Formats: sequence, C-alpha cells, structure tokens
Amino acid sequence: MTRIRYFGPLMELTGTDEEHLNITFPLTVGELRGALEQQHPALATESFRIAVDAVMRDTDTTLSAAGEVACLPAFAGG
Amino acid sequence: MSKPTDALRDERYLRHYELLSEDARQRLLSTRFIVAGAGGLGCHVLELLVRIAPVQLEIWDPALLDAPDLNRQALYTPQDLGQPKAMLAVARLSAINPGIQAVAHVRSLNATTYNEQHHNTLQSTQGSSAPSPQTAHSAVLDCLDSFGARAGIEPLARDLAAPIFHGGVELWYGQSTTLLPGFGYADAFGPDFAVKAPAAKPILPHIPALIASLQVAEILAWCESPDSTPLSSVLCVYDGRRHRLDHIRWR
Repeated sequence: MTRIRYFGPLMELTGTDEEHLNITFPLTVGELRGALEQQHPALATESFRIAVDAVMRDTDTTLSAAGEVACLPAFAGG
Repeated sequence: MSKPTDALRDERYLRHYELLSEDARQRLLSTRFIVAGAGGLGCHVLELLVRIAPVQLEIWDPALLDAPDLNRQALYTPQDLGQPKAMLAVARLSAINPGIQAVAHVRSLNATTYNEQHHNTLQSTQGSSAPSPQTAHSAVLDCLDSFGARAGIEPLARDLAAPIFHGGVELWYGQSTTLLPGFGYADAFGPDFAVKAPAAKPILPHIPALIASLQVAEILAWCESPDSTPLSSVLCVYDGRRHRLDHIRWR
C-alpha cells in the first residue's frame, strides 16, 4: 500500500488529507496522476506537482516503488 | 577607521548581534534588498529586516491600500486607506529604524521597470536616501501575489545574479523556498508555473506572518552561506489547519 497525501485545497477536493492505495509499479508519475484522478475525478482540473518519498518528480519519471506520494499545489498569494 | 558593520553595534541590535557572523553582518549591510510586493508577506518581511539591521531597501508595489488588506498587512492603519503601499511602507519602516536606506516604487517590478528606474535618479521619500554606493550584492524578495508576476521578476534576478527568496500563501496554507542563481521558478514549480491560477482571496493573517519569517530566516542563512541555504534545494510547505511543516526536495 502506498500512502497518498493531499496538500492545501486538494484536501477539500478529495475529502481527506491522506489515504492508502494499492498502486501497481512500475509506472510513470503521469500514470500515477491518472490513477489518482480515477480515484478522485475532481483532481483532473487541478494544477499540482507530485513528490515521491519527499522528492519532487517530473511527469515522465518512471517509479519502481513509492512509500509516500504527495500531491502539492503551489500557493500563489502574497 | 570604523568597519561598515560597526553600524550593527548600536544598542538596538544588541539582542541578535552576536548571533550573526562578521561575514553575515557584512553581507546584510552590503546587499540591496529588492522587495516585490508590500502586502501580506512583504509587510512582515520588511519589518523583520529593518529590525535586524539598517538595510538598503527598494520596495516595489503598484497597489493602493484597501480595507481588506488590514487583516494581515501589519505596517498599515485605517488612516492609510487609499494611499500607495510602497510609500506607506517606506514611511513606517523609516520610523521603526531611521538608519535604513529605503526607496519606494509605486509600480510593478520586472526587468524593464527596474532598468527604467535605475536609468533615472532614484527618488527618495520620507527623508530616506537612495541605496548607498557600497552595495555589493542584490537579493530579490518575492512577496508577490501571482505566478504571472513572478515570471516578471525572474529575468531581473538572473541579470543581477541575485537569489530569489520566495513565499506564497493561500487560505490556511503557505510555502517558502530559495531560488539561487541557476535554479528558477520553472525548475521548482513546473514549466507552466506562470499560468497557474491566481490565489484564492481568503487568507488568515498568521499564515503570511509565518511564511515571511521563513523567508527572513533564509535571508540570514544566505548572508552566512551564499552558496547554499536550508531551503535552496527544498520546498517548505506549511499546513495551517494541521499545524504541520513538510520539506520536499526539488531533486
């Protein structure tokens, strides 16, 4: 099971700050995002980056495993 | 002959003088801090900086003070409504520390406006003077309220080989990181960073205060060690609902 964490407004959209999901590896970060969007369709229109085990990852990075996934929107205000 | 950093031997700096190395004091006094935005983040960053040292400041903000700003923009009062925030900030900061050198620019900061302004004589306000010729470094303080505006300051920071001390806030949340030369917003926030949606308007007042404190901590860390700071490879994310700080490495 992989721990998935949602930050900021994504918590409101998904209704949780974290959950544990069965993810089949390997897959790319983009494919991981697609899996999360299937779980929570409201994520599909959101802008956020994904960090895996506390390191930010690009969409085309292939993951062989992940203990923790963080979905991070950027906060724009000042 | 007195050293430039003797300015920090004034009693008003007594509580923190010995916590800074001589190199850090030197850099603090020889840096021009170019502050983009005198709103929620900017007010707190600026007040902390002028209490730490008689710094050189350029404060850029095109906006006039609105009533909703008063929940968090700590330099202003209801009597200031309708006036330019950059001018108000210089006046208030000069009252807090008459030793600062501060200039207000009532316009948005980007490479074009910066170069236009610096081709003209810098206008001083409220008895403050233009940054001194002893300026050896520049630093850009990102206290802006949109990623579109941030795209505008990045070329300037690149031209000046200056770090960007970034803060961003929204709702109950905030983030801070430091972009040293060679690492930009697109590296940090993705290639489409400039088109990210504007911030949601609601914001609690303690969120920018906390994120601004992280920005100032980073400025002091940079003064101690210009090539690496605790947040130069890390995004620090604050969740004000759960009172939780996370560190995410950029790579």
